Amino acid sequence: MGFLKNLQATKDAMTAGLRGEGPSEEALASLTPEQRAKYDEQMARVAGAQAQAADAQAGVVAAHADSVARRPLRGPAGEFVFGSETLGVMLSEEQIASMSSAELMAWQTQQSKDQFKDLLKNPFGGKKAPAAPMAPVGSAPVDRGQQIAVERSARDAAREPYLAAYPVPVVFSRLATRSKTQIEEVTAYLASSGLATRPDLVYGLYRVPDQISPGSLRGDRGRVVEWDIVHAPSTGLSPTTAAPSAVFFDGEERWVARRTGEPSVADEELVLAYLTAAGIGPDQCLGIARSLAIRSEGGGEGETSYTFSRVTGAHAFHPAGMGAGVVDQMKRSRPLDLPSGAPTGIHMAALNWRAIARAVHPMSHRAYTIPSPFPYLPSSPQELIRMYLEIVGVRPNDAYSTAVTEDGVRNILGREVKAGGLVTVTTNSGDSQPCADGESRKRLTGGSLVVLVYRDREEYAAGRDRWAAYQRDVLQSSLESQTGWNRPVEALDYARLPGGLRSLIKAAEKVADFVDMDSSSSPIDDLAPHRYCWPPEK
Amino acid sequence: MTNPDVSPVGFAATDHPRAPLERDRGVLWLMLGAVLVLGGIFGVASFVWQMIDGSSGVTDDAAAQGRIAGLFATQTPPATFYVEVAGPYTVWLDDGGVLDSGTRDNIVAAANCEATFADGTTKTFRGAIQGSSVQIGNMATVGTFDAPVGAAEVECHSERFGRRSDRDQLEKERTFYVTPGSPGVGWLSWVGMFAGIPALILGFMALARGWTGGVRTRKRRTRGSVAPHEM
Repeated sequence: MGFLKNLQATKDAMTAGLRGEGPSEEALASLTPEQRAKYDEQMARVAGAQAQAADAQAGVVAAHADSVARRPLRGPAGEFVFGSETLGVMLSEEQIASMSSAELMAWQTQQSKDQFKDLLKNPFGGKKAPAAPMAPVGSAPVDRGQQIAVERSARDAAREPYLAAYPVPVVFSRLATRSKTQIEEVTAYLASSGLATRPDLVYGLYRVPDQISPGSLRGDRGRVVEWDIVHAPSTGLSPTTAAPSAVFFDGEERWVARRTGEPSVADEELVLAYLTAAGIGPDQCLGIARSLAIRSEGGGEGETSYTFSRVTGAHAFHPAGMGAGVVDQMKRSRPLDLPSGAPTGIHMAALNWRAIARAVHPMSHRAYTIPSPFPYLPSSPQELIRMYLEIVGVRPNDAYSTAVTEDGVRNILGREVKAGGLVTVTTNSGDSQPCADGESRKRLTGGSLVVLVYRDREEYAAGRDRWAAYQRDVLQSSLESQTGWNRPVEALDYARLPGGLRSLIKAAEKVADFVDMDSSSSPIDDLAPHRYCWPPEK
Repeated sequence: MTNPDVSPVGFAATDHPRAPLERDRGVLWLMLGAVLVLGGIFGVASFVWQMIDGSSGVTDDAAAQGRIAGLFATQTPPATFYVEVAGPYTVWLDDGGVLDSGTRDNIVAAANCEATFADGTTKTFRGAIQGSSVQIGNMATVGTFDAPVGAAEVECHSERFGRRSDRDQLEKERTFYVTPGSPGVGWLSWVGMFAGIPALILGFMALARGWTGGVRTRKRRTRGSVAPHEM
């Protein structure tokens, strides 16, 4: 019987402990001083552990809040792309402190049950896009063009209250060229259209960052490459025989001195330095265009295939006869002392188009999704540019650059999830889409950034306030976030070794990769991580 | 255009009559491409034609036709023919449309033939031992022999070969044909095919390069006002 009594007492004590009741006052009073000291020591440890858990939880909550605050997209699209804005049900510090072990265990069991239910409902964890709120009109099926128009007019109406007081008409003239001769063809078009004589009407120009006819045998030099010239309406202009200049700045050359950790150099910053030195204002500048190379590699047996888009430098377009000798002067003065950021009186805006594209155009080998899963967001980067220009009210004679482009190196192959998430297909073959010459061709759509550079004015500052309100209230976004603009210069591999030895090790690594047939190493790994300032200064 | 924000102007820099540039097509590349493409088409087409012609020619050109005696069956009468010009002859077996490739191979391999010529010499050959076997449609070669001028006869029968489960197929009597010449297409056709495919690929690349060409200043200039959207 004594054994059973002891067992009952032990059980009661455990139950009391689980309930958080602890031993009774009488039981504590009966302890020897040594036992009491040990008991107090254990209780102090429990209190310390609880405090640590509370600190860790506070840290998780703060880190999550910080990451949510830095998201370029909020709302449904933000949750679709980046995950939930809330951390799920969490207990406060006070709740944890006041709960007994049994209650804590019961709460954790309930959480596990809920997570299991979620797992059964959504086994692969993929977030399904919410249904398009804009249903097709009537019972007849609505074609893509009609649906685009319906969604577009709703977005235009939502933008009305934020527009600048004066109209800002914008035209995107899309020119088809061949890769090999694209710069000559762009300058020829600027001349023949008369825009070369009226740079004050031009917002900017850029190579459309898509690869057209991926997988064709034609080769990169013969590929169709499109350019957008963004300008105000320009009827009645006279053509000129004088093609404008396109001055190239090679991104692989070291123009500017930067140390590891300092802001890297944006293409537009370097070209602005040139334009300023040449005395070319925005009313004389036709545009700053990043030069893109899009190449396909790999894809053999056991190899990963890549179609990567890379910025190789930048062109400054302006009327011929200006800026003579300035580039040579800049070359002689290298490395240049170029402060980071926009020069005084000039505003640079980099908008994170990639974040929006992940929501509304997730498959680069197909056209953008219609009906849009998030119809309050623009469907194309050109629409985003139009939104910005119309709201901020930027006039073309103040614009240095307006562009859709890339930053750094990025694989733009299409990815499609099939079989309910079991299979992810990577491909360069998708829908044929109309090109600027009227032909339909397959296309891999690129573009990460929308860049706008313009001479600042007071009314533009007020316009940017409207843009901020429009982003917050309508787009539910903060597109200036996570653009990679001026990201800190990375450290050089084997930075502490002398240059010769460093080159030797890099060469040995390449030989080892070749001998091992290492398919995990990507051609992207071998490229310089920054333009104009690589390698960093010691 | 899928994108309603964009106004396409095409290859306005080179293709518009008033554009200051015009495309300078690479004539030499275009000519080279055309030669390669035509040569490639000829090489591949001649190979395909000979293959098709070879398969239809087995029954049409046959010098004699006989039956292969089934396994354990009594010998069938020989196929007789007269050789006017000494040269190679090929025995083709008609498998009657057997779908399973393993069974089909066993039927061919089980065929044993003997050719007897006017000078009294004989030549025996088996489907299982051939330098190279050719299969076209339902026809498969059993073997080839060189025949001297004069009367000749060929008799064939099946012997045990391969899987027990194919035994019933070997017991069936089948038709064989004796055709003048060696089986398949000549080596020249193979060369044409193997050279033709890369020639086609290179030809299309050369044509693309020539078509892309370069750009040059348009020789005949025009004056006038033109808007970008009109280009």
